Amino acid sequence: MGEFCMPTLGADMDAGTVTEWLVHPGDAVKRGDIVAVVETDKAELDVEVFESGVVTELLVPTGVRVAVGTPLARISVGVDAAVGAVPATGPPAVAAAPPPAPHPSTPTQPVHAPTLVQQPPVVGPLIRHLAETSHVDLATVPGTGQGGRVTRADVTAAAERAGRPRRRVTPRARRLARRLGVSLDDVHTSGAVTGTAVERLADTALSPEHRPRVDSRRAAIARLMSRSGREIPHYYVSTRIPLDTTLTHVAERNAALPISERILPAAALLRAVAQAATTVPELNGLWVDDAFQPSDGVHLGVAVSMRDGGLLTPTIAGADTLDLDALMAMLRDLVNRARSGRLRSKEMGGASMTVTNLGEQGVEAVFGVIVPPQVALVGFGRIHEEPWAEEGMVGVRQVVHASLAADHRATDGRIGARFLDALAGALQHPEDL
Amino acid sequence: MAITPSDDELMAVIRSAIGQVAPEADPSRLAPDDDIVEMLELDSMDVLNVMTAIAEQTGLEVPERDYPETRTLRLFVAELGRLARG
Repeated sequence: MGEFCMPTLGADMDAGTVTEWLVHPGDAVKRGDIVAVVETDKAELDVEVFESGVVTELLVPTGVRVAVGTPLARISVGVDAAVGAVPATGPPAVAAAPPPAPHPSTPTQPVHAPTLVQQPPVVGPLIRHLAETSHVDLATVPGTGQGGRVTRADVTAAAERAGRPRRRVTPRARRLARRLGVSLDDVHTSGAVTGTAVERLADTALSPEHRPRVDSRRAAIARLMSRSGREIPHYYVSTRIPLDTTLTHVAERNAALPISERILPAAALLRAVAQAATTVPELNGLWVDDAFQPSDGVHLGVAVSMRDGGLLTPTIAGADTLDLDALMAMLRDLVNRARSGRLRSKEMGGASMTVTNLGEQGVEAVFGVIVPPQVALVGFGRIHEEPWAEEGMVGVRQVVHASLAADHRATDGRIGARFLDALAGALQHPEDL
Repeated sequence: MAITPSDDELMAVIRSAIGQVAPEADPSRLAPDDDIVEMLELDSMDVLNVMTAIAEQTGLEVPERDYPETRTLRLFVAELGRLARG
């Protein structure tokens, strides 16, 4: 019997909320399956299960915030995956539910679960959630599943009969609604419920004094950055790097390729950082227990700004082993999923170094705050033309200002300078990136 | 493409591609001569995604060097029109 627990999805996470169960009791799962959507202070993430077996019980309903490590579901390992076998063989008394009632949400049903689940286990949280969002009263839904269990299809059918098809709600809309205290039922749109619609409603519905003052995502960033400021003695070095060679290389390469295979200069910058981190390994790793632990590979945290504000830093694992195409594909996938709220748990955390690229917002340079327990953060400003003096001549070149914020406990400025030098060097030889 | 799409059709394709990339933006707010990237605060990844969505829908691939020719909706329609006519 295994337990699926609230995972830690980042150094700063101490609690999370299951916002959606994607499995219910009786479902067979295998290692790596996405079983739940968990909301942390920073984001909604798809969470994977780490063992194969059959889900026997969901212990935490959606919407309840629990600490990291709290058991969320029981998984019986090694049991025959046949759905029907579970209640008979599953050890917990809870899973062997009382005879299923035709109307599972009738409150007279005895509740055996010694957990947060307050309703009979014959209706999984997923179904309850679906019923809620579809405005269906479960007591009125005839169950067609095993033992009269109400299934997903039953709820959907009931919703359609009632003429209220389930609306598509974007993850951002869901987040905003929760944060702003707006009921999604009050959002009137013909199509999907979007964040903009929620914001518009919040603007009109809530007077300023009723708006929640604390933005949980903001609070999470505040905690982590405060810790960085308290614990890490930062030093900074910066340099200007001519990029003509790299940009020409990227442009020539892209000119011959269909859009789907084109790469962005940002991918070349990341690839150069991975090379420089390999050349200067003293900056690639973690500061743990008053000592530097070098990383076994270059795992780049990439700061991705969200369209509604805020920041996520998913990790490109093994960036030193990826060629430019693979790195671009990974970057594109991560950025797009970060922005649509579909990152996976394993993609958060695990970074050995972070890169931030504020150039897209037009600033010339950025000097970052290190993400603990990492010891270095690389910042890129906007790629732009500027006068460049070389060998007694002044010309105009495409330039990027690169900075390094580093932990002075782990390294000195000399190492930082060597890193930027390696970075600049790598960007003069794009064919080797 | 055998039949050259009309400007209205191209405009609809562009608006829908932008809508996919910036779902919270209201594309109807975008005037024909507004700078799209500036108005919607798109970054290079967003632009790449817009171009990809348009290519998937129409088969028209805007060369990277012509990106400046897609700065506004009006310019974008003209650029796609040129590409469609070959």
